[in-house]
Amino acid sequence: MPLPSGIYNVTYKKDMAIFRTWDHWVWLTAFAMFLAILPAFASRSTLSIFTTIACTIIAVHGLNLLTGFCGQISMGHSAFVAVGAFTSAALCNELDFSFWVALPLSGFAAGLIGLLFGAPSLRVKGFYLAITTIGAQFIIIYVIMHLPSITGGVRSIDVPPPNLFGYLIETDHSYYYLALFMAAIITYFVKNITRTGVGRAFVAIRDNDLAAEGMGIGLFYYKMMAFFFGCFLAGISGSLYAHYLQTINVEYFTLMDSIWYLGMLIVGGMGHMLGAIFGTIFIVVLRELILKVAPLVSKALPGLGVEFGAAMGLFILGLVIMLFLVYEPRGLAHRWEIIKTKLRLYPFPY
Amino acid sequence: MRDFKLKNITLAFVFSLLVIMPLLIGPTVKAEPDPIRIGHLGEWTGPAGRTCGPPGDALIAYFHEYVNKEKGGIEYCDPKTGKVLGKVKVEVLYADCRYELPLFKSAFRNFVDKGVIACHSTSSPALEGLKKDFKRDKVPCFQTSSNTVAHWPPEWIYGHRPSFADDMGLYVDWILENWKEERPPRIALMYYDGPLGKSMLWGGPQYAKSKGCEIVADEPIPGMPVSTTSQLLRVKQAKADYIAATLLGSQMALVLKDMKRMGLHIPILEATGTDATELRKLAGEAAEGAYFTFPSYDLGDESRPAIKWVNEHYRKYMKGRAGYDVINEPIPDGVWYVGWLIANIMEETIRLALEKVPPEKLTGKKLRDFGINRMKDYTCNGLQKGVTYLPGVDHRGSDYNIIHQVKNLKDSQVTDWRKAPRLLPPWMTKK
Repeated sequence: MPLPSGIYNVTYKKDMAIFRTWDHWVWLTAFAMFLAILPAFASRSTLSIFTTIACTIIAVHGLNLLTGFCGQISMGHSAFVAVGAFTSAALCNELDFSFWVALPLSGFAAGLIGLLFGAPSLRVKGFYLAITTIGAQFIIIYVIMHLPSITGGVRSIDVPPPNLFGYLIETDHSYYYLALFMAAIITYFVKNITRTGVGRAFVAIRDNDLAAEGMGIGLFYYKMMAFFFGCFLAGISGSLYAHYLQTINVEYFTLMDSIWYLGMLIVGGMGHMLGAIFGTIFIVVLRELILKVAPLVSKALPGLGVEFGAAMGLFILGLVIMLFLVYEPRGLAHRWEIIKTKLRLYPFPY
Repeated sequence: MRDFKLKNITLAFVFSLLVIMPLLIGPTVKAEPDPIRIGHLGEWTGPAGRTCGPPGDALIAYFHEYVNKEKGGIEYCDPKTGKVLGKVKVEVLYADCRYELPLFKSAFRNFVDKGVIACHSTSSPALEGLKKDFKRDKVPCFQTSSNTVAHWPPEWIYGHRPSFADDMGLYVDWILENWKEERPPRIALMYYDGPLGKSMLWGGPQYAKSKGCEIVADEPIPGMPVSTTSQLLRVKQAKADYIAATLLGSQMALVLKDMKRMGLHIPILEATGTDATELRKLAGEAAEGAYFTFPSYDLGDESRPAIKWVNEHYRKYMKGRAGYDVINEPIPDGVWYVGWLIANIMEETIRLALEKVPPEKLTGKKLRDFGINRMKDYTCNGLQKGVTYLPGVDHRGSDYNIIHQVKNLKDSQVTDWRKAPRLLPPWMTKK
């Protein structure tokens, strides 16, 4: 990370610190305080959006590790989220597990299934791997639909809310804090993975797998690890979201959702920690804005009907992704770095 | 001194006027109450947009055009005397949620923040995914679909027709009434391999077997089938007398076309709320002869005042609207019709509640307690046999449905209103 003028890494500890300056800590504290007091003045719908963002960020972090850092494209991420959601539901409903036990186990289940579908990654890459992972999307959903004794099949199943020492975390306010806490922990976890040898191996594989192998990086081992971590986080996200919704159905985990996860990563910036966060916030907020603005458009132009406003929403969403691909392929995270550097050097030109 | 006195007298006079004037004017005219808000968790785009869009259009037109503009609102009364005090308008808040649960959830939260007293949806993700939210926020939700999971156990979701499983039971009763042979009738099942299609299985086949019918084939159809030949061949080999189907419109069209191509003449009994117009549009001539259940008389029969009432309003409000061609298609689709129907039921529940509760104090819970729970044998201006909600026992609204058939590519009513058996899904019968 580029440092402000006059700040040097004089110790290893300082070199490894995520937050290097007082400014960083001040901003972080202010942001954390804002998030902490938000439920005091925000409406339930706003809190619901924040909770959705927090749960989605975890899944997109997983996809970022897999696709952004390691270069292994996955078009079936939503199915791994489904594995986490249904595992958690089954563990809590059938075996009376606590949410706190079911949560990591859901991640492990999704991670193990991810290993299964990641195995072909040694042989295939690029478009071919994308097709393989699309296969995962369909196979996993098919299995869930046809295992009614465990998953409920096509029927929606109830998921109990988390219980913390007798206190049920079931309201928008309480779940907001849980989702936020989990998103923060996972972000920290992913940030640290990317800074270790494992993270550097992922990047090496992404940039040139033959060169990476030549340097002694075990391709299969690290690719499998990327699939495991990526799907583990998808599972955690699925479990967290399932307990928030308190009801799940296979129809909530579609190929379109998998594509949206990729869309979030493209908009945010692949291979950048902030990319997953920015992309998720941007797309979720945009979708919510469209949800609220579309009826106003329809009201202003009544002759065109409600469909016009609704279709406009989809048009805008598609256009945004296209514009990002054309004008800012490195995503919002890159744009953010440019803005920060410009501000740091102000009034001198960057 | 004199000036001071004059000033005092003037002030006393003005003050007296201020006190007396309101008494002289009499009671002030009460301003029109704020509109009652209801929410429509809609879909105009997304995979179910074609089916779920028109009910939303009908619902919005019903309240904004018919109730608010044509009727001036819904009457509300003095709860003590029953005297009509005025009319209150209804505002429909809506959102296009594209069959995505997070959007449904967010839209519902937004509606609740804005104080809706009831919701409406046609969509399974909304009905099943928000079931607990409706209960927690005490907001009744009306459905135009016939989602079994949403109906059982009966909580805060209300319908207007029997479930798809009940419809299969209705077909079974009808088959047995007309059955002439010694052997039992053989029924093949063809259903969409998803929540909607499989909802027929929650009680339907079990009822058929209990009545002595044989289930000879069980053929799930994938979401986007390319061909249904193999499934139909197995149905043919099983020598089925009837095919009981719960399919999406596009799947049904493919099955009908494949049957026509194969020369297969097995009566197909559809139970997903489709209608002759949709079948004709999707399957063309192959739709000829298909049976379907639909909670209405023939929509083209304008000799019935109730149908005429719906169709005239359809032509009036949908004229010139994108996606509607009322000149060439003067009869509404079945999906538009059910939107109008459920809006009429919602209006009646609000009217009933306003007999007991002033509009500004009307909440979702009060709507349920004083409106929905009091609804009994409501015929929807003659459109229905009678809508009744049994609190906590049965929220489907009606046990009655009508069997129709496509004849000469038009709707032909086969039966009058028939009572469908109430078939509880397995999770309601397990102890």
